[in-house]
Amino acid sequence: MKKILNYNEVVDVIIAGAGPAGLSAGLELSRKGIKVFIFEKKKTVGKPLKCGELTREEIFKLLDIKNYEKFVRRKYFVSQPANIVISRFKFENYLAQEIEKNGGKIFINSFVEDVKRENNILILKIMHDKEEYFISAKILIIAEGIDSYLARKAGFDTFIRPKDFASCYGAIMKNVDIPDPNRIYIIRDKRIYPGYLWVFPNSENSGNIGLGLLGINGKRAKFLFKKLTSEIKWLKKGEIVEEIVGCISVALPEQKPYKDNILLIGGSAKLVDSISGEGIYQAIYSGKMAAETALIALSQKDCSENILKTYREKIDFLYPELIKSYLMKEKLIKGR
Amino acid sequence: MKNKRKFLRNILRVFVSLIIGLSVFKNIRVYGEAIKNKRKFKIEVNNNCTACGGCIAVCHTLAIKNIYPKLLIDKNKCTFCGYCEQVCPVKGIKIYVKKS
Repeated sequence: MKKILNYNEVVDVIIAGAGPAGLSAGLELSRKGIKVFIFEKKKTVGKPLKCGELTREEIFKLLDIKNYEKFVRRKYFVSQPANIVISRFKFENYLAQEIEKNGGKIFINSFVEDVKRENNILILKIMHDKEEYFISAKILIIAEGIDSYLARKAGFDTFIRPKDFASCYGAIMKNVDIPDPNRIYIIRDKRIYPGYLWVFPNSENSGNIGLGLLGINGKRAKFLFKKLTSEIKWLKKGEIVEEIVGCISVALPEQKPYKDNILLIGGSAKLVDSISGEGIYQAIYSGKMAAETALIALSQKDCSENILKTYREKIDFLYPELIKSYLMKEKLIKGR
Repeated sequence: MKNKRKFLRNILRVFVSLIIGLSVFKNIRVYGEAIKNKRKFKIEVNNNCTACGGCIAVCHTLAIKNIYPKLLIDKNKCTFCGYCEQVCPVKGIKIYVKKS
């Protein structure tokens, strides 16, 4: 660790956070032979779980992955674009392996603490085992999710009001009997409105079950989840295999997710659907586009705002949908 | 007669609004004291916390930092607004009033 980080050369791209967004950006860059360093806070990639794992089949096409059946837990025949449940642990570990095969590096148990800009180059302060290291890079991609401390230190205003925030609690449960495992269940209740309880079946007697409720609700997701699951007949006997604790932003997406030498992708740019809470597809799409923008910037040897603003144009088609569902959520709050 | 009634009603209105205003003013004063006498309050993270990071997104003074698997709270930056406590899904963070 020390040897690599006391590195005098300038790294091309540094990515903070090894979630779906960061890893897909890293994969795209490492495939083109660019030196990528990825820093992850946790000890493992892909664990602990923080979401419902529901996403679209398109993501594999975006990342150009064949034989993806091993990541898919179940496929549903539904009209909406999000139609599969994946195993994030397997999927992210596969991406991480691919990146390391291509020459990128992933550092676990370490994170980017601070960032400074000097002479068109970024100087990053990295913490690893309570020790500080300094490293310089041309481009920083922030992919730490909505709870990014770094994004706000870098000067983005990503503060979220409790009104625009949903706290979630869920679990992967076994010993439940789901009436029809080919369906997605959305269960509404007065106590959590406009939030809801989701059930994504993995098989007839297991599934990903969770609950999201607004920050202004005032009640705790964990206790409501236990109450609600004990009230529903077919979830009563369920046992928890893996706990899911997380948070979803139901705010407006960031209008300017770029700055000199810095790009925001995925949850950090609040690219999350406010009604469905879906964010993996948006994360991977924005990650891919950020990688393409970084490639252009590196080849032109100019990483300033003027070049990086093309990133915003590339992800522009995500915005109308996100804004629409945000406005719908606002209406739901008023009708409460 | 009518004028007299109107006059009385107006007086009543002024009186009621004064009471409401005073009570609001009192609340504001209490909140101001909360910021002044920070030592009266205490913020604590307990074992329920899973470091999911929700409180960091909601904190407007950047007082909370995620050093996985723990949270670190900068007590000098914290204004005890209570957003993090309100938003936490597992009762992992709590604000106390110190008794002394």
